[in-house]
Amino acid sequence: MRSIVRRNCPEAARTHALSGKAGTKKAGMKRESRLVRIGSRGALVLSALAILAATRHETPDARWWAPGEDRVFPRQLDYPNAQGVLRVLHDGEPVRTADNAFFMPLGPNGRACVSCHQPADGMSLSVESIRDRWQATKGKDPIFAAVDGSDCPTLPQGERASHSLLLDHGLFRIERSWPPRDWSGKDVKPDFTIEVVRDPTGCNSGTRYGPNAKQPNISVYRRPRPVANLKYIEAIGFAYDPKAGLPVPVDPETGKPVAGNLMADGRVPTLTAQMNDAARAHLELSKQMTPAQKEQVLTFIRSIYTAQQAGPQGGALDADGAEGGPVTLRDLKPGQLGSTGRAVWSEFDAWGKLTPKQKAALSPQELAFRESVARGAAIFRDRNFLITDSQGINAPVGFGNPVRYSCRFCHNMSQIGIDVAPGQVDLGTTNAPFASPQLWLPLFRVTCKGKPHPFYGREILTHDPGYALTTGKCADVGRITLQSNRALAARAPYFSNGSAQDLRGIVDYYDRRYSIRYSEQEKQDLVNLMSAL
Amino acid sequence: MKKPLEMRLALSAAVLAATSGHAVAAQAASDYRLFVACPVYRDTDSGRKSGCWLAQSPDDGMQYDVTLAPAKPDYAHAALIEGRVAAGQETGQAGQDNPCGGIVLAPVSVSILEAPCPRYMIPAEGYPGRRFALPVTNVPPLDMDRPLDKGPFAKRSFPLFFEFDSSFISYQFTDYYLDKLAHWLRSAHPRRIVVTGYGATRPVTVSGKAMAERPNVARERAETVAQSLRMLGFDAKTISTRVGRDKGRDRGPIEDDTIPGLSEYSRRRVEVTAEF
Ligand code: HEC
Ligand code: HEC
Repeated sequence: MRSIVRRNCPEAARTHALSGKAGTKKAGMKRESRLVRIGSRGALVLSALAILAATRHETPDARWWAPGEDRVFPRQLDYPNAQGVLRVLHDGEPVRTADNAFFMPLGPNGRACVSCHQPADGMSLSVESIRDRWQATKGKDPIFAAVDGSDCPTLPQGERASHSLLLDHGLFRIERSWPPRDWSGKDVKPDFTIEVVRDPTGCNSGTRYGPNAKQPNISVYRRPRPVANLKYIEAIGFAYDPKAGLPVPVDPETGKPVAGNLMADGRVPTLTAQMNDAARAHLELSKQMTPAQKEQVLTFIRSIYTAQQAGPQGGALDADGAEGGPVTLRDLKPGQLGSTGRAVWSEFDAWGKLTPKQKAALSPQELAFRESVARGAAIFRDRNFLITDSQGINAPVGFGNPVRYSCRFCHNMSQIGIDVAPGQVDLGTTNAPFASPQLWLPLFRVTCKGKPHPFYGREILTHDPGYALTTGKCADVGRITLQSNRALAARAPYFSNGSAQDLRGIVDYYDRRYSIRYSEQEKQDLVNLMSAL
Repeated sequence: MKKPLEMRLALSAAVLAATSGHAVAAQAASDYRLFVACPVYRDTDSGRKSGCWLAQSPDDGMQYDVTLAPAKPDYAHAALIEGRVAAGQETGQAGQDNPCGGIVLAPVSVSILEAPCPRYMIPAEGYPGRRFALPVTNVPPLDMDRPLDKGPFAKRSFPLFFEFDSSFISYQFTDYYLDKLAHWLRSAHPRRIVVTGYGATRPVTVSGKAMAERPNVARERAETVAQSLRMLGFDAKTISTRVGRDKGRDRGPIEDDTIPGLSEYSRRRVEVTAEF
């Protein structure tokens, strides 16, 4: 399905099925000409003759936004995927990509931000797209740049094997300084030592790379995080961070409190600091982006909302009282706690209470899907299990170890499913014994010098120390910042180290990690729910 | 379980607050418990966060229900428990308000110690546990309107309490009192804020063992609270930190209705004093 659609009519297929509030009933290639919202949510008219020109040069490859192209980024884009259709909303005037720094190859390696944050992939980058790019460009696409698009820059770059982590698992190399540096750039004195147990990529040993290099560093491998729905990622719900036992952290640049929810390891306080990091690390810019470029990128990325808009049967996810899709995300307030406000994934409550008349109007498959999604949301919220040995939850907050709760304990922010508090939690996705062996990843031995880790003891084996690479604390090893649960269908594989290949892989991981014993039906319901986010 | 224990607690706290420190100490004698034990998780299920925490005192052999502590135990580590037997709970017999199968301690504090424990977990055995209710000591969200406190304002001290050997500001308890005090400071604009840390550094015998906090902990507490105030936007120049002298156990609990009658808890504190 997807490949046919992609070749013939990349961004427009199946739009007729989307009767969503912000949707258009027009199908076909002309959809690229855009919609303008007037007045309150829902009222739409076709407009934008001005942009019609942009649609003409659309190529069959329009699904991929290449750096440096001259295109128009409209107010709305729809992309079919295996679970239905993803919708990307741009809450602002259409943007000409040739003029916008997010799309411009600013550095010498030809990459732009959009290289790794693609609209069709929920503003992340799916491993499927990565493989397509390898095929289409014979490995020449800038995403494969030696710096972090190969397993290690020391490897022969022309070979597929040198890019195996990216091609097989969707992972970019992230090089962190050792010892860690805090947000103001000062060295942190770590309370642990780190040794390399296994170095399959070669990037954690030698004189240039690794903790024993001349300028010591540590390479870990991570998935791009979605650059969308950012008002939620930036929202501060409460003045305190219960996991730190302190007020929420303060940006040294501005002196203002921040949400603490950026990057797997929380290494930057703000989107501005993140951009500096990205420009240096991913774009290989020797100097910083100009203030005007930064402003342009910030404005653009803050205006992007994305979520799945249609399900596998083509039915709109905001039909019959449901509120799936990105419009709800765009219009509602961020930073709200689901347990006291709008319950997490209550977007789909209406589908648990369809009237006989509504049911009769649906195909059996569509009805089964909707009911499953509604059950999945209820399971996510209310199917409790014992959460154990997870730093950030079971310690040091005071919830107790174990504590009975559900998925929403950690994924508690309405509409988005991140943590309202700064969300660094050790699920075990990167630490032994919970992480799967993943022989392609480096393995480190962390030894706590002071107090032992409350759950692992003095020695910890880890693929990615996560937050500990920012704080220098052994108690933080393996804590990874929760990320948005939206647009999941568009951006497999999952978890920061790509260890869950598909949505079922996520559920299976939790089921094993916390001995939940979900029934087959419960697992399927959770998968369907996640496919609809 | 019709008479909510929390209500009775609030009541007794109010009564206690009205009595003198001496009276508190006297009452503490019979219902006061201080011991170290490996905690036991009882896997009750009345929804989220409804598990029970029990601990058997090595001193009297009784099983206590310590679930009402603001910070719960970790079954992998020993716990220092300080509490008072709740009214009507003297025997822990069936028929009393006993949702977990132990003599209810309230108020009660739990401090997680470093010593390892064998992860005791027992089934619910018919006990319901307690349905979770948001504690009153819950910091309001930032988007809630909060009018400033009204004056007149005069010199005033606020205590904040800590777990054993720790300077961690506990969730839905110490953070609540810190937030309340910050709100008051924002309204009052004192000239100086003096943060004095205290530690229970003089040893006390608990379950047959001498226990004392690290000498540094008083300073760490003061620093943590001062840092918190700075992070909350108070001018660093107005904040000073000190270390106070631990007067030991004899002094009895300080008079404060947040932890009535818990004399050890009250030694592990910070006092924030606003001067005008
Ligand atoms: C080579 C691929 C690549 C490029 C190019 C790239 N990024 Fe990223 N981006 C990533 C990866 C990988 C992460 C996750 C890093 C981590 O978690 O440690 C990320 C994370 C982010 C995040 C954090 C989102 C969150 O919720 O934590 C933002 C924001 C972001 N990128 C914006 C940008 C911008 C702006 C640019 C251009 C200046 C850019 N990225 C260029 C790969 C890339
Ligand atoms: C103890 C806290 C906690 C609980 C409980 C929890 N999660 Fe997560 N979740 C996390 C953390 C931390 C991450 C980020 C981990 C990573 O990226 O390695 C995450 C990530 C995710 C992601 C995002 C994956 C991605 O790549 O974007 C999904 C989806 C998810 N969890 C679903 C669930 C479901 C379903 C449940 C219930 C079965 C659940 N979570 C329970 C903490 C939790």
